[in-house]
Amino acid sequence: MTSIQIPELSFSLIAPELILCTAAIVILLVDLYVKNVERINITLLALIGIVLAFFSAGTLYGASELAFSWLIIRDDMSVVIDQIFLIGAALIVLMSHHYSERYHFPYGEYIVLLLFSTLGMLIISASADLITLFLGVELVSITLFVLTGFEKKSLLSGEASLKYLLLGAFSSAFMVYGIAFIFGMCRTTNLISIGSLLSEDFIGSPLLILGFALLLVGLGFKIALAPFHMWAPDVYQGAPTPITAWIAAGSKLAGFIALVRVFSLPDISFHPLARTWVEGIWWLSLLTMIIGNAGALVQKDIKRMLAYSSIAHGGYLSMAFVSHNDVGLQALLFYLAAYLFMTIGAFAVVIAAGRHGEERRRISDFAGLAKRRPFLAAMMSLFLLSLAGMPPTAGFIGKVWLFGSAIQAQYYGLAIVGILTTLFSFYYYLRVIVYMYMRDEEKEFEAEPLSVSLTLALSLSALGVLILGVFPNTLMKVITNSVIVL
Amino acid sequence: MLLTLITFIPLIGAALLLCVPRSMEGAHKWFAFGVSLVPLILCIPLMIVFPYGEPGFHCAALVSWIPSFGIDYRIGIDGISFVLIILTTILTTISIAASFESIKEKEKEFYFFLLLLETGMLGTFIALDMFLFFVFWELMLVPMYFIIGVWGHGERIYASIKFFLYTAFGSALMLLVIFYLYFEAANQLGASPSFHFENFVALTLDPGIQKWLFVGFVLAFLIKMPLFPFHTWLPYAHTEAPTAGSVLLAGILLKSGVYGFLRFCIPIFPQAVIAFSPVLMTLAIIGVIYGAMVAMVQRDVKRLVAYSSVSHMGMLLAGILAWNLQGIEGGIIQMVNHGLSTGALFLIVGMIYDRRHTREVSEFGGLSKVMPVYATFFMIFMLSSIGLPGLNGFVGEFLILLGLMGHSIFWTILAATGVILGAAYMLWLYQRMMFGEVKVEANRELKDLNRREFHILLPIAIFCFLIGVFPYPLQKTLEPAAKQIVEYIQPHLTAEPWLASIPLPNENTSPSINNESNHE
Repeated sequence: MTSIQIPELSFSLIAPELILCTAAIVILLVDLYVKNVERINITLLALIGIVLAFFSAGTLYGASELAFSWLIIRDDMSVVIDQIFLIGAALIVLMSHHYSERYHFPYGEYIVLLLFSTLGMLIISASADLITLFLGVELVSITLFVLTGFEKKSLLSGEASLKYLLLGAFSSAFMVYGIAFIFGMCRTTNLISIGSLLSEDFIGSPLLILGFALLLVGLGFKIALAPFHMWAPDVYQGAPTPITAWIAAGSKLAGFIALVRVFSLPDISFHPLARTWVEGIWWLSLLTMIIGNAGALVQKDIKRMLAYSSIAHGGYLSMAFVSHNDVGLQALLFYLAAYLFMTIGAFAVVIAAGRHGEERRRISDFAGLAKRRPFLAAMMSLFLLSLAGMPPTAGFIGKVWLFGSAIQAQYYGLAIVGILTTLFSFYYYLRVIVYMYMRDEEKEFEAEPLSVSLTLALSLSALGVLILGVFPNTLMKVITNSVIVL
Repeated sequence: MLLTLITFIPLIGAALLLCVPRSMEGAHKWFAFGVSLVPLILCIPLMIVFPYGEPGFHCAALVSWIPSFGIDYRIGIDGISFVLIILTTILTTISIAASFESIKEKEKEFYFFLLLLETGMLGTFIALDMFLFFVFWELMLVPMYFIIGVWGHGERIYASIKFFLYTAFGSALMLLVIFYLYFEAANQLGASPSFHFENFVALTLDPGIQKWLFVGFVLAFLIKMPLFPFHTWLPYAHTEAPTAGSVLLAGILLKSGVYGFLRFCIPIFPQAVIAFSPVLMTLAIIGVIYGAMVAMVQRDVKRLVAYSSVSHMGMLLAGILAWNLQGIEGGIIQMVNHGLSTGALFLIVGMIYDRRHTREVSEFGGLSKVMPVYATFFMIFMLSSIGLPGLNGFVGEFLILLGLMGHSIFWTILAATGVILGAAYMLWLYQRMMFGEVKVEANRELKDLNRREFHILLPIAIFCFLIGVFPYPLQKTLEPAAKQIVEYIQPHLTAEPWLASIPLPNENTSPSINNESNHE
């Protein structure tokens, strides 16, 4: 009889995940056993955990290994993505510190859930197996379901949470179903084995295509590609604002990384399948850009507007899968980083502009912000212009790179639609600026002074947007190298 | 280095301006004025260093910016950009000085955007890397949007959004074409890809594709110029913008459209430019006459000047499309002239608006008695705009008509009609506003120009006379650049192509440029 072989456990390869997990558990215990723990201490603990994880990820550059019997892949790409996620998480923690004080959340639990959702994202980025991938996706989703409903007194929040839960569960079912088909055809869930199998047999088997299609639908829900985007506006509107930012930035990023892991690994060179795949996502991308931008045009609520804008950005991002080349993948990673900064920044301004019970929710509430809060208005303009893709911001470089990849792959039609929908987007981004700078305020909003944590989050995001816009080369090099190493 | 300093000092100044506390009222404008003087003064060493009469790009610099993409900070100037840089620095300083009393709200932001705009404008004229050019080109857009939208009059919000969307539409298509050319260059030239515009010039493009690329590319410049029928944003933007905005919009931003056409469109798509030039010529001449006729019936002085811009810009483009040295030179000289005279006219209108808060022609009359100095300046700039001999406008218009004559008498006659109409609406305007009895009581109390306003207008007037009397130095500066453009286009011209529809030449000869120099 064969004895069970215990695979080699290389814990150092998953150090960032372990550190983050430890930090979350420590906070959970502190919150449980220490009475009246100051919120600032929890924030600091979380930040320390995130920073440690960030640096431990930094030491893993150049590792390029498979670990835990091929469940985990640790390549440069996963390290870059981990670091992007961790920066995002840090910004969200800073925002939450302010926001939770305003609404008296049970802060310990909140932060723990936030850290666990980050952990899920890290797992996604490092997964080499459909099972690990699913695990990561579920960890992200379930924590976010809870976090969405954290504003217990708000009906909207509860509704959003329920909607998110139902549709999220639905999409997870699609994913599992897809995975089951793939497993049935390939007798493995390991992505690398599937890749090598695909290059030999099975090509064009309808059941296999069905499996991948179901997987695409499942992940399409998570990243709100049209026509699977219906949940997004309601959830974005109802969730506590820092969580909205985290769903918009983090969870979307994670979904795209999952797609990259499944469909774009150059190791998995299933070229015959790639055609079908590209055609499908071509339509999704087109539809998403149009629906997202058209939807945003008519929104009156700022969070809903940003939700539609984030749907539209999903459309731009999925262009990278259509172009299906190295440039596209690099552009995708860069744009995700840029997108993270500008989205989180925009939501941070939304938080900072309001106060308890008097959130600025409608776009018209932003009227006259430039007069009352010039710093906030300037920041918001910066983030919106970056989302619109004006130079010299990160959004510009990212968009240019993405559209460039589509042109290189000779998908001119898609690139033109992308550019034209971007023009539509100018209108609704500018509308907010028009309100802030060019109209007088209709009703007075009591100013709440900017807290240190929020200022920090704002300035860091602004710095990220500007640095990636003016000196994008450092990140570009890292990304280009990481994609080549694969 | 000098060019870099000139371009980025306003940007640094803008950043520093943000640190001046809001409570220090009055400090912001002086600070901005001081900052804008620095590039103006730095133009003096530039004028000393610049090798007049030599072809090619000078004061060049090359720093790698985004190497993984082949994007460089590659700058250099020839005669055209040299002249436009000087014009930009002068007009920016003047517009800042002109805003001292008219801008009372959010001063800090206003001057911040003006300085940001200056960097954008200067950068547009020095960039030789297409990507860099695009970044500066878009950088002009946002500050101007804010300037119109926040400090404008009346329908400012509509005007600013229309301006933004029109120009953004053009540049978006341009970006796609730039990327197409970039990948095409990587394929054809085999070298590491780069956005250097001379690489794009060296490309051999299939005539069929070239036409489409040209259409996508040129639209950005035609909208900014603006050529009829893409001009509809202009009357709104010009009219609603504050004085400084109108001056810079008319003086520099419109010129950047022509500049882009000359610098990039002609060398990169010579065959397509020729194929389309009958169309462009027709539109330009329609613009000349249409602009003049619409200007004639305007009741709002500022709107009148705005439509006169449409007319002048059409004329200027027509000169370039004559494809001979006189026409092109005339067109470029007219860029400077139009910048000076129309800029000055907007200042003149702004000054009367500051006093009366109206721009209706019918509200005025007999002002020459109340404000003699004002009337004198108005007359100088009005005559310069008409093209009276001895003033700058004459030189440009004369060369343009001469160039047009060189290729088609038909277009010359039509263009000359535009000149006559121009004289008609301007003189009529002057008559209605300045002569006759003072009809409106409020006008009796008007104060003549104060010292600040006088010193704003004086340098422009001096330049108008200088160029009018001694056009030679300006012409000498521009000549090599104009010759270069003629050289790009000449090999692709067939005999008498003007009235016939021209088929594209079959052999795809790229213009004679030095290929070795592309890969430094």
